[in-house]
Amino acid sequence: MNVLIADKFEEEGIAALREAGCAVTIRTGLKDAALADAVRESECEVLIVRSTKVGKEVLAASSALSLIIRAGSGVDTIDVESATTRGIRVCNCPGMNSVAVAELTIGLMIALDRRIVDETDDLRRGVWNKKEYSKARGLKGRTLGIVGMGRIGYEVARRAAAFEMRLIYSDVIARPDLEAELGIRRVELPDLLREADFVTLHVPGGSDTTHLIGAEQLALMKPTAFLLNCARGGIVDEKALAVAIGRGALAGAALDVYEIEPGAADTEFKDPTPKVPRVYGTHHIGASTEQAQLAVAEEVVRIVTAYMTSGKYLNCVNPPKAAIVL
Amino acid sequence: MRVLIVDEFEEQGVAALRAAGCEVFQLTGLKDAALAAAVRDCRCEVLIVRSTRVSAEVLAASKHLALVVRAGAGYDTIDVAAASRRSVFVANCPGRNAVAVAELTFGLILALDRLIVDGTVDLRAGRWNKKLYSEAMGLKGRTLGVIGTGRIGRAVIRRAQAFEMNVLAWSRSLDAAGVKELCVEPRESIEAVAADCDILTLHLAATDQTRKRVGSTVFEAMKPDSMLINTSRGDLLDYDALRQAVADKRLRVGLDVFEREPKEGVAAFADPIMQTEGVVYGTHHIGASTRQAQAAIAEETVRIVCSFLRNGTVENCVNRRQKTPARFMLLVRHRNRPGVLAHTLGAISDAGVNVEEMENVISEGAEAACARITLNARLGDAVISRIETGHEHVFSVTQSPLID
Repeated sequence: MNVLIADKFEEEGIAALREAGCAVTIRTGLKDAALADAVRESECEVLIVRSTKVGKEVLAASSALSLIIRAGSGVDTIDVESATTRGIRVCNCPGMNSVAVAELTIGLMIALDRRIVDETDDLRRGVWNKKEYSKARGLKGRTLGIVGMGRIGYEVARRAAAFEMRLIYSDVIARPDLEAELGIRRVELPDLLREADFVTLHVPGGSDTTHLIGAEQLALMKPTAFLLNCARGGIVDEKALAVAIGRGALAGAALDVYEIEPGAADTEFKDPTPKVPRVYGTHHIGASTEQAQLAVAEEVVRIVTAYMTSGKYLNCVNPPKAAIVL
Repeated sequence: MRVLIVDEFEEQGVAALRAAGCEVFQLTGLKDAALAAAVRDCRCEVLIVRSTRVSAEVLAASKHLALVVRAGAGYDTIDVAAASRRSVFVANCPGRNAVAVAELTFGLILALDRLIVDGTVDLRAGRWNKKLYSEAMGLKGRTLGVIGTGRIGRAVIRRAQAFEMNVLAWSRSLDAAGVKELCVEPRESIEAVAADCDILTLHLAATDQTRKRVGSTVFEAMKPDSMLINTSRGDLLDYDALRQAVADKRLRVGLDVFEREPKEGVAAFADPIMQTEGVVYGTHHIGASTRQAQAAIAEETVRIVCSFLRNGTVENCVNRRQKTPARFMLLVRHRNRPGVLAHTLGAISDAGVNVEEMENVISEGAEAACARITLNARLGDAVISRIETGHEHVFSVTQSPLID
C-alpha cells in the first residue's frame, strides 16, 4: 500500500509502516497544488498529515486516495465535507496528545503566576528586580476553572489536583465519575469565570465555540485572574482580550493558538496579542512533545494496519453511510 | 509585649499579633545602624525579619531584645553566634515555603522543556517558529532526579508523580522507610542520580559540606541535553563549571539563585551565567515569594510569638544549645511555698556549682512541686543534706549523673 506522509513524523512510526509492508513516501513542506501533485504522483491510498491543510484540490487530485489520517486530534485543517462527498475517509488520533497539552497548560499557568518570561528577560538584560517579582500568588488554594472536561481537561485537572488547587469545570456533559475522583465541581460558564483564578479552555474549535470567550465573558473574570488558551484559535476574541487586559479586567493570558495563526512552515507572525504586556505565547506546540508524537505515531500505525489488514477505519470522523460524528 | 517588624509582613499576621495583645511596630527598609536605633528606640522584645540582615550591632542595640524571628527558613542573614552570646533566641519558619518553591521548580522545568520564554520573546518580535519549538521532550515517562528530600524535595516529588514521571532521589538521610513512603528509586550519590535522570533538581540546605558540591563531577555524569534546576541556594553550584557544561553538553538550566546575587530588591545584575550561550532561564530569588507562602509563614511567625508571649517557650529555636555543659541533675520535691527555690539555689551557689538549666513542675492541686535543676558539677553530700533538711517545705533531694 502506498502511503504519503506530508508532515514531520516519528522515525519509529515510519519504520513500523515499512515493516507492515507499506511503500512510504515522505514529502514535507508542501501546500495546495504542490501537495495535490505529490498525492497524484505517489499514487497514495493513505495520506498522513499533521498541520498541513487538506483542501478540495488535494482531495480531488487522485482517485487512489481513500484515507486521510490526521496525526493529531483536530480535523479542522481537513475539508471533511469534501472528503465525505468523494468517499474519502478521515481518521484522527484523539487523546494521544492530551498529556502534552496538559503539561503545557500547567507550565504556562506557573509561568504567568511567577512571570518567568519577564524575569528571564530582565536578568538577560542585567536587571534584578526581586521586589517586583516577589508578588506572585501561588497555585495552592487557588481555583482553576476548566472549560471543557474532555481528555485534556481531565489531564489538566489531575495535575492541578497535585498542586492542591480547587477545581471547577463547565461542560455540556456532566462527569460525576471525575467529580468523585478529583473532587471537582461542575458549574455554569459564567460562574466559572467569576470564581476562577485561572481559566483554561479545552473545548473543540469550530463555529459552536467561536468567540466563546468575548468581551462579556472577560468582564466576569477577577482582575487577578489569568486566561489560558491551548485549544484552538478563535475560541477567544483576542481583540476583546487585549482591551480587557489593558483596562485591568484580568491580570493576563497565555496563548498557544491564535486568531491569526501562521502555517507550520511560515516565519512571520502577525497576531498582535502577544505584544500586550502580561500575555505569554507559544507557537501552537501544545501537542508537540516527543512523548505525544510517539503516542500519535503508534496510533497512526495502528489505523493504517487495521485498514490494510481488514479494511476497517479506526477513529473515523466521517464513517461510511453514517452521520458525521465529531 | 513589643514587637518590631522590619520587612513586609502579611496584614493578617499583624492583626493576629495585635489580637494576641502585642504592641506591633512596622518599619521597613532599615539597615545596620538605623535598624539598631529602631530596635533601641522601640524597646522591642521581639524582632521579626524577612531578608533584612541582623548584625551583632543590631543584637546589642537593646537589652530588651529577647527573640528574633526569621519569617522564612534560612537564617544566614542573622548573626546567630552574636545572638547566642547575649541569649537572644533566634527562631525560624522552616518548610512553610516548600509549596511555593516546588511550584516554581515545576514552572521552570516546564518553561525550559517548552521554551516558553524564547517562544514568547519571538512572538513579541513577530517571529513564528513552530518547527523549532515543537522539539520538546515532554515530562510523562521521563526521569526526575531529586537531590534533597526535605519538605521542598517531597513537595516536588508529589507533583512529579502527578506528571507520571519516574523519580530518583538522593539525600543524606534517605533511608528505606523514606524510599517506601516517597515511592522513589534511591541512588547512592548525587552523581549517580545525575547519570540516570533527564532533569536534575537541587533541594539541599547550604552548609559547609554542600558548598559548590554540585560541580564538574555532577555535570560530567549528566546526560547531554538534560536539565538542571536550582531553586535552593547559590552556594551549592559551581557556576563556572556549569557555564562550561551548558556549552559542552547543551544542558538546559533554570535558576532562581545565583553566585553573584544582589542583596537589594532592585539592582543591576551582572552574573555571567545569564549571558551564557544556550538555554538558561532565571528568576529573581523568588522561590519562596508567593502570597500563599507568605500567609503560611506569617501564621507560623504568629504561632512562635504567641507561644513566647504566653509561656516563654521558643518554638523552632535555632540557637538553643542541644547539649549543655550540665553533668548532674538535681530533683527537689517540695511544698509549693515561697523561699524553697531561693534556699536551694543559695546552697548550690555557696558550693560554687553552676546551674545550667532549671524547671519547676507544679503537681495537680498546686500544693507541691518538683524542681529539676541541672548542674555543671557534683554537689557534696553535706550540701545535699543542707538542702534537704535546711528548709521545712523540702520533701526530698535526689542527685544523679546525666548520661550522654
